[in-house]
Order: sequence, then C-alpha cells, then structure tokens
Amino acid sequence: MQMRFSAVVGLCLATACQTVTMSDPGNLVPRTVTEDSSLPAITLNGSRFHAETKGDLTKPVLIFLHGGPGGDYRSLLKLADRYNGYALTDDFLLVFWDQRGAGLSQRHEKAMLTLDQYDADMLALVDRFAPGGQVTLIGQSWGGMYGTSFINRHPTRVKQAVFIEAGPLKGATYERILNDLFDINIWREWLNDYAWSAQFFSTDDHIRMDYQMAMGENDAQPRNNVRRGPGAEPSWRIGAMVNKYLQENGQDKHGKFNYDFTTNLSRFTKPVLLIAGGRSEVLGEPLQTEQRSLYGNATLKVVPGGGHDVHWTHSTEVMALVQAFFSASAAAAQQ
Amino acid sequence: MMMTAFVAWAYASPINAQWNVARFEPARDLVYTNFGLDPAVNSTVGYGRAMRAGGLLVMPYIEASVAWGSLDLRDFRARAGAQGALFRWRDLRATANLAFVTRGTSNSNFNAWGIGADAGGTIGLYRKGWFAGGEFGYDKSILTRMTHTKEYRDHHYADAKDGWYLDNGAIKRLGLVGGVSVGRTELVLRAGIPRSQGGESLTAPAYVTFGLGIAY
Repeated sequence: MQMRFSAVVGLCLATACQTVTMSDPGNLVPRTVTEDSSLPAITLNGSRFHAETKGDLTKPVLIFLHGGPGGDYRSLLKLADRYNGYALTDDFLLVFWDQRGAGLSQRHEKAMLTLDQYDADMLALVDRFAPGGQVTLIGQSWGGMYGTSFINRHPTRVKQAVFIEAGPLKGATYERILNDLFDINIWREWLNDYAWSAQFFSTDDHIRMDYQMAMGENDAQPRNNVRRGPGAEPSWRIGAMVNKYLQENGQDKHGKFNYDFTTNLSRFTKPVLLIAGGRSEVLGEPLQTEQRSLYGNATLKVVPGGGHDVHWTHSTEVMALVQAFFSASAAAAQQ
Repeated sequence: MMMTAFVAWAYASPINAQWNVARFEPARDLVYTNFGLDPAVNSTVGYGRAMRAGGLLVMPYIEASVAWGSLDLRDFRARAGAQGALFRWRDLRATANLAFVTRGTSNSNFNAWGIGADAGGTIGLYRKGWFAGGEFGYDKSILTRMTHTKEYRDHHYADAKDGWYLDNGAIKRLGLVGGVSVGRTELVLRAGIPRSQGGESLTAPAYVTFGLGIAY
C-alpha cells in the first residue's frame, strides 16, 4: 500500500515537474521539412522547400508566391478551391511552395538569404516544372514583389501574372509609405508585449525568432485592415530571419530601402492583373494605382470591403476576377 | 497641500539619500520608483533597507514593475534581492546585486509566468551629491510556465505545447548609471545596451530608466 502511494506521488511529481525546451522542434512552432520528413518537399539549389502540387501535371504551370518575406502558402491554398463551378486546376497545374527560409521550408543563415538567391530559387522552380517554358504567377503582398522581381529579370519566362496587394516595387516608394504602413509606437500594447517577451525567452535560434515574430504579425500594420479573431487568415510559421535579412538586402548601408524591381519591367508586355482590397488603406488601391503604370500591360481591380488579406476574406470575388482575367488573356492569345 | 509637505520633507534633511548601497549608511530605508524602457516601457516601485550583515553593508529590497502599453497588469515583474557594497578605495566603490525574479505576461499568442535570477554589479566614482559609474547584469529566465491562446492554436499551430519551459534564455546588460542627490531625494539615470543570451539585439535596442528615490 505504501509502495503504491509512493509510486503515485512520484509519478505526479515527475509529471508536474516535467520540463520542455523551446528549441526542441514541434514545441512552439510547426516543424520544418528538415525536421518532419512526412511534409511534402522538393530540393532546389541545395535547399529543402516545403512544396506541393495540385492538378494535372500536363497542364500549364501556375506558381503561387506567398507574402512575407517569411510567410507561407497556407492561406493561398484557399484559392485552389472551386468557386462558382471554376477551379484553377481546370486549367493549370498549381505549384504551392514556401520560399527559402520561410514557412515550413529549411532554415538558413544570413549569407543564403539574399534577393539574388531568391531569384535563383525561383528560376530553378520554374525550370523544374516548366523546363524552358513559361509559367503563370499568382502572388500576394511580398509575393507580388517577388513575382515582379522575377519578371524584371526573366521577362520571357512568365506568361501572365496576378498580383494581389503587391507591396512597393521600389525602395523609394517603400521609404515614402513606411510611416503610413507601420504603427511602431512604444505605447502600443502589441509592441510592448513584443518587447516584454524578451524576458521570457531569448531569440537566439530560428524556432524562438519565428515564435516571437508571430506575436506582431497583424498588429504592426493596422491600416491593412485585415480580419482579426475568428476567421482570420492563418499561417503555419513565419521565417523571422529571412524576413529580416531579405529586407536588409534591399537596403543601402544607411538602412534605406534602395531596391528596384522595375528597371526592366516596361519590356514585359504580357497581361498582369493587380487586385486591391478596398479597405486596405496603404497597400491597397492608392499604391496599386501608382504601380499599375510600371507594368507594360496591367489592369487594376478593387474588391470592395477587402483588406490586405482580401484573397482570404473575399476568395469568391478574387477568384471571379482571376477567372475572367485568365479567360480574357486566353482569348487575346488566340487572336 | 500634502504634496507640498512631502516635497518640503524630502528636501529638508541634510543627509544624502542614496540609491546605491555604496553610499548608504546602515539602518536607512529607501522607497523608490522607476520609469523607463527595460526591456519594454514599464514603471516600478520598490523598497529597500540598508544594514550591516557580517561586516558587509547590504541592502535587501523588493520591487514590483508593470509594463505599460495598455497598462496590462498581467505584464508584470517582481524582484526580491540584495545589493552589497564589495569594496571601497578613495572615491571608487563597487557593488554587487543578486535578486530572485518572477514575471508574467499575457499577449495574443501565449500567457507565461516564470522565475529567474538577476545578478549584476556596478563600479563607479562616488562624490558628495553625485555618483557615476558603469553597470553590468545578467537576468536569467530559469523556468517558465507557458500556455498558448486559442488564437495562436487556431491561426498558427494547433499542437503548440503548453508546459514548463526550462532555460529559455537571458538578458545581458552593459551600461552606465549615474545619480544626483538633494537632501533625502536622489535622481538616478540608467542607460545601456541589452543583449539576448546569444548576443542578439532585443526589440528595444537600448534600456533607459529614470528613477526617484527617497531615503528616510
């Protein structure tokens, strides 16, 4: 009887005192493809990428580009659903992937997180699924910037593109809207929470950095007017290091953004559809109207009531625009 | 009226109010308040009492801090510790500090409560009416109870693990500290650079706090 009591007490103590560590994969953030072999993945340029395809492998290739830098394709999967009888898989092979150091893809240190490396990754992805051919792009936020950068460097490899709430295509534009976009005020609850968290864990590895970054995901840019609470746009995991270093790579030595994804853009005359959320105050219609003229052949559509997450909250409306755009592009190509 | 009386009392005493134990005499009490960025905007109130222990001048103290933002009382920190004067040579003095720390936070992704230890010291020049020196510190998070919010599970990671997290990290501090005293009152300014355990910069790249202490 006494032994049984001791065993029970011992078990309770052991359970109560059981500790875990933040750096163990899977405790705080989902595992990446290098930590979980069950995740769908491909290898490009020596790195493992979380990726999957949907649809017929013989159909034209459509590549999705998620936001961030550092985000993932979780919310973009919604665009693979069927809307009003139409699904993108009717016409395309859909390629979803988490970019280098982002989402559930392999993590890297600073030296491997550059705009040139990102371009090389995308070129490798295009060559893998459409060797020597053209692809269609759908990018959201940073994904629109990334896609535009790729078009700027490889205009012959893209057939058409849809960019939803693309971020600033020039560093000078970014510098101009920074104060409108970000709410960096030390009196704000979210920022104080973010800073206060430093006492609870050190952001000394990817897991901890990614975990902390999820705290300020939506609060930092309130004028994006994204949906909050139930029904908000989900994401698996944010790559904090790539978010930091890719942005630094687009800055001069004084920390000013000086990138330019438009130096060759006017030569790209294939159709581009820009979509803006009507409630997205900074990155929405005002910015997209300005940026439309940077492409050789772009049209802009605004989805009323949508924020920066319009692809998630207004998927039906967005997909109606996308379907009409692809139909018009196909008709124009046949003429 | 009460404020006028308080200020008059605070400035009436000829003795020097001293924040740092290196300038304290035994059997002196101190109440103080801080406000600043460390590592987020917060305010602190505390009490200490100087005494001799084994020939060493020490000041046990307790203090409580709450973070601002929306003045969320769930974002708190409390310390119970002791400051001791290590050595004195002419106007040069050194102190050491060791405190038990407990703290909590609540945000959109997780709630946490933890315990830790904060060790540090100062070395500086102490003159009548003022002092200036350098400080260093190491605030270690030893054990933290973390629970994740429904929002985090719904939008990021459903399988996030709640539990006791061990050895989460630390904040290292290196900075300057200085103060002036008038009567019973002392004003202290601390400023420096904090780094994570691995040497990374924090969200707030510097710490700055202003303090007011009253000795009696």
